[in-house]
Amino acid sequence: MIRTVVSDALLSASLLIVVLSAVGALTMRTTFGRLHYVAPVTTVAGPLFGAAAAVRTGWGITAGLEILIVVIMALSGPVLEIATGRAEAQQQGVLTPESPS
Amino acid sequence: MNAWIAASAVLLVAGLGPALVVGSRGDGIARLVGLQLASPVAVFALMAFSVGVNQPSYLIVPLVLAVLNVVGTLVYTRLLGPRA
Repeated sequence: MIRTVVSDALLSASLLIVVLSAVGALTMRTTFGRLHYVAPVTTVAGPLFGAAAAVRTGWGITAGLEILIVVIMALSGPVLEIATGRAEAQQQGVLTPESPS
Repeated sequence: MNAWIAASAVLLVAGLGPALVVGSRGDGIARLVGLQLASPVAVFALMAFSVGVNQPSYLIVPLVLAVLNVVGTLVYTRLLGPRA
């Protein structure tokens, strides 16, 4: 019973963040603004979602796989957003392709 | 319908829908942001469906998508950015 309540609470929080981020990205006009709204989906909603799934299924190989998926998303998300932001900055002339940062 | 299948439906409608709209407007990099939003939402929707139908073997699909998303997005940033 408690496991179901905790799992549903984590799942609801995760869904709320995903939906708000998606709507926020939709309302932003610039690419940089949209990128700011993409970040919470992988870094905040992802771990919450993985925790909800792990609590729901119980500790085992399935929970390990679910945690592995959200860890991959949480680690790769910021890297991809930085790469996309860098490409946009180069396209706008803010950064040169040779620039290290 | 349990909570997880409902969550999968919510993600497909309220998460993937806006992501597809973002991915269909603007220049290449602006569309790439839509793809970046769509990929984790699709991963979560597939995970929620797997939990909802109680089939752990289905988790291989979001796992592969999560890994391919990294490579695919980096390739797009390389191709869409200015050439050195």
